[in-house]
Amino acid sequence: MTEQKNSAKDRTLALAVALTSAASLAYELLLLRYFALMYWDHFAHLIISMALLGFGASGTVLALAQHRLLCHFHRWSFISGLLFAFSLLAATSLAGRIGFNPPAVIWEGEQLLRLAVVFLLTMVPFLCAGTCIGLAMRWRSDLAARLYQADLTGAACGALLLMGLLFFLPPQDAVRILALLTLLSPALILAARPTPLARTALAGSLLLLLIWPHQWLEPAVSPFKELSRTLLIPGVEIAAQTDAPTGQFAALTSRQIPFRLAPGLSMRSPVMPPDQVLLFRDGHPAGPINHVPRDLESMAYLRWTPMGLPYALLNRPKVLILGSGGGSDVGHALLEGARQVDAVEPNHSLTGFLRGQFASFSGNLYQHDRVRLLPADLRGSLAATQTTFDLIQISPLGTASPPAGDGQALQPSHLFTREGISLALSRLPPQGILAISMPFESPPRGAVKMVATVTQALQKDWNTLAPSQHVAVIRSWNICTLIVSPSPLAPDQRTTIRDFCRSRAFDLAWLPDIAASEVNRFHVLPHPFLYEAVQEIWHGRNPSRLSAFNLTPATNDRPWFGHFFRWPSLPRLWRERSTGTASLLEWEYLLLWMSLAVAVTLSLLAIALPLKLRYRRDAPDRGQQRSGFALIVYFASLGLAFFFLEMVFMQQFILFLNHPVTAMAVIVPSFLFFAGCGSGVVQQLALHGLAEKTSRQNRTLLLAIGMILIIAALYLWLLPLVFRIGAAWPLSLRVLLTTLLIGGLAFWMGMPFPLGMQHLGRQCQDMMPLAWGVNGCFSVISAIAATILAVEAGFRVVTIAALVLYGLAAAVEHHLQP
Amino acid sequence: MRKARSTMVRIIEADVTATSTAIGRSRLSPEVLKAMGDVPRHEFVPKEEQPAAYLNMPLPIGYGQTISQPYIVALMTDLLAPTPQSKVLEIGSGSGYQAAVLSLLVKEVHTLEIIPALAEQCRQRLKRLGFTNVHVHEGDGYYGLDAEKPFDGIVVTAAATYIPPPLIRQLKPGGRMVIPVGSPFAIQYLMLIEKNPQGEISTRQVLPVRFVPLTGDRD
Repeated sequence: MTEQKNSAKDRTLALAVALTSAASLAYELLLLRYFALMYWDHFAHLIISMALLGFGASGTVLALAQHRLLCHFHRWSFISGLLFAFSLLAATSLAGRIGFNPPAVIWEGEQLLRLAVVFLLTMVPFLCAGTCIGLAMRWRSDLAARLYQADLTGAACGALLLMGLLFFLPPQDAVRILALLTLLSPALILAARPTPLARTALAGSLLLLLIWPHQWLEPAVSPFKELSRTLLIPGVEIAAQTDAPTGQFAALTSRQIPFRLAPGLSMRSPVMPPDQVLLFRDGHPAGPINHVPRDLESMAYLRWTPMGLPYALLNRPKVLILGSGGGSDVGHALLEGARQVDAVEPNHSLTGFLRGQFASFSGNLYQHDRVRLLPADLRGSLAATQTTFDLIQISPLGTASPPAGDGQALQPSHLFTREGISLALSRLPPQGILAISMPFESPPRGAVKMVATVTQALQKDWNTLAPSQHVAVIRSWNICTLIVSPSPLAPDQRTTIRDFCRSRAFDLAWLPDIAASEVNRFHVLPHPFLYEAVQEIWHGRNPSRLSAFNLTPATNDRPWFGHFFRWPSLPRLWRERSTGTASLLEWEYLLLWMSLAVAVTLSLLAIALPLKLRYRRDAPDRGQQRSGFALIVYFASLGLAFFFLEMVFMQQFILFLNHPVTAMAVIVPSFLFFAGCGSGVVQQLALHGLAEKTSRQNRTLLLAIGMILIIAALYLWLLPLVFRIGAAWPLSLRVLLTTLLIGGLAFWMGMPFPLGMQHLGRQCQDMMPLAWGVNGCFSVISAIAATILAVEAGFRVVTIAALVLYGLAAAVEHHLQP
Repeated sequence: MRKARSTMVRIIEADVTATSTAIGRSRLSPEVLKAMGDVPRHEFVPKEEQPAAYLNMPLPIGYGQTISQPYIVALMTDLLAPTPQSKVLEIGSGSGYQAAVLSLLVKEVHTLEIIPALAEQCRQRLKRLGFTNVHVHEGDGYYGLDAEKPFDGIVVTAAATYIPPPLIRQLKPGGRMVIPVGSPFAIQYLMLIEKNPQGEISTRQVLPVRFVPLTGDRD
């Protein structure tokens, strides 16, 4: 009877942990949405990674106060649960109202202080959640593995729950639901030890969460985002808005002053853009929807943009539009008589506007009998099809234009890698055309990097001897278009390109037979930068005038097209920021390094403080010192290695699953769930007394780490092959395979942490909170360090680093015993 | 504040000297520099930004707008080549600072602002500070001000994905139009559009220092 009762109590505790973990992971993902909406994506990732230091800090709190907390476990567990729920709403309400202005970071040091306040505020909920979970593990050290399993499984459920919520609710409603969910954990604790005061506190908290003012939870969107600025124009309003896990999408109409989005429109254009609806994703422009009243003639203005060039070269082509967004490029293709248009757009919400509320306004473009809409990832769609197209069009009117350095340096883009371009070229017939249009920056870093990428794809994957013969580059004052063909450009094509540019006052930057006198004529630059740089690329040299920037083509291993940063250039760019280099400082990347420094410093403090206090109280002998050091190395290695592998394989599987939402719904929960299963097995071993002996435990650990090393190494070699073979498989099969492949690795990854905790639970329970804190801190460091390492050295190096770290953990494990 | 303004002007001069190769001029006209030194920039920024008013940096002025950094304002003004007889149009009044600087150099400035509240603030401020030759209009900058055409110079500070044809029509032969390109806190370059006496248009980029090869001067 008592055994049954105890078992029920254990289950309740595990459920409380799972609920807390579910709410904390869901909140982590929700904060990403919040900050992406309020600020910019890269700041969102930065803030979240720092906020998770709260988990590390909870280890310090527990290490310092564990005995006091354990005396009244239920009371403190209950209080930290309530605080978690309350801080979740309070932090969300306050974080957007600190006055942090990301674009001003370039100029004002004070903005870094405001950013630090945002970090601290968002750390609090995770501190509370970490305290709840860590305290439970410390209290029932014999159940550490089971509770860790509950932690991981709960987190997997939290990820799925939030994705579901974001399909139906805006973030401000979702956060309240999470806060209410959070209250279930203290409610379970209360059920075990009910007191009138606790009941009242729980009821009061419930009431507080319910009456928390709605407007306090609304994201305070930066006034410098395009959406905020556009809404200030008289007569502009949000006509439609949808929330999805991938972003908040809005369609704006203007009653008084028409929108006029026509990037690159020639000054000689006799036609102007029609009425437009503007699309936004998370407050950033996502292209227009053009009014198509009867026929497609209203789209004729696009003939006067650089995006019109491929249609001057092809007759009634079969077209693939990558990132079709609001349908401008689709309408353009139909206007030019395309015999078939395949439109790929991963953001279902954007195309939803055109198929719903704005179907008639847009002339029912996506319902046209020659148009086929494919809701898929851009590169994934290329991999999945064997069809060839006469034209593959990528333009700034859609959603797939190459990322520029400004705020997008850390945004991976698998399409604009050497392999991605090569794949696109393989979907063209010999006379087909890949047309990539992008904003023309000054200096033209993006355009030059794209030429370098195309050159490498032609040379290395297509064995083209003279890539210069396959490429044309033209530009208006703000748009640059690259034309690439698997065959050399024919003389008549070159003539057409010249005529097209002359009639529209566009500049030629490259043609196979171009003369120096032909460049830089209409929109005059002090030097023909682009022409000179392209010539240097053909000659195998680095563009000398742009040597301040990283123009090495992106690859599958390092898919950061928008990363132009080079450390040697920093002093000069910084010094001269007041005279024009401000926009070239990749602040997101610099802040990543700064946050790594801050995370490492804070983590070391969080670890050193409890150790110092403990050692002051009980002077350690050498063995204890060694075991303390081993503990830090062991749990730090696991914290680092787990996320390193998770990040690498997540990036790879996103490509395979071919859709961001599917990828989010499958990859993260699979990792967490199967790691939880691994942890569950460790608990089973303990229950059967198999892990009681240190030698057996060592063997289990060695087996787990050995399996991780073998499987991860195998995946490095095997996955590209599997992905190539399975690219065209049905989604259900790909999801199944992804789940199995991730499960095969994650299962073993879930074992080393609980094995270490079990070890401590038997030998030195007081050190368990420190281990929890070390793991938490280094998980945060891992998230930042993995990105830096991947940007600098590539995913392969991140994988190898993870395997070395697992090896290190195995090597020090037997020193954990004091 | 006068001392702070003098310091600001010296910083602008130093920046211009440092970037002379890139911007194609070794110094700005003394009249432009004098105007920069005469206009009280602190009156054009919110109270909390006033301590930074004479630093060479852009500042937020509310409504998601900024007052451009002094170096850019001076360079844009100089590129317009203003004369005491000039009539200038500005699209995007913002705080009114650019219009105030221009007003000391030309006969008449017309400035158009699309956000009504900002237009009203700008109108009041310029009136209070005595810039009587600046006329603040509220409306869509795309069409310019047909009733006041032609203009010797046009400054377009509002974002544009293409150059509005009405503005080109309202530019006098021999006139100049300047458009800063980039985000409010980080101007990438200035675009200068010139209309020759025959009415033909040419455009060119005026480039900040970063376009000079960072490995060393090659010019």
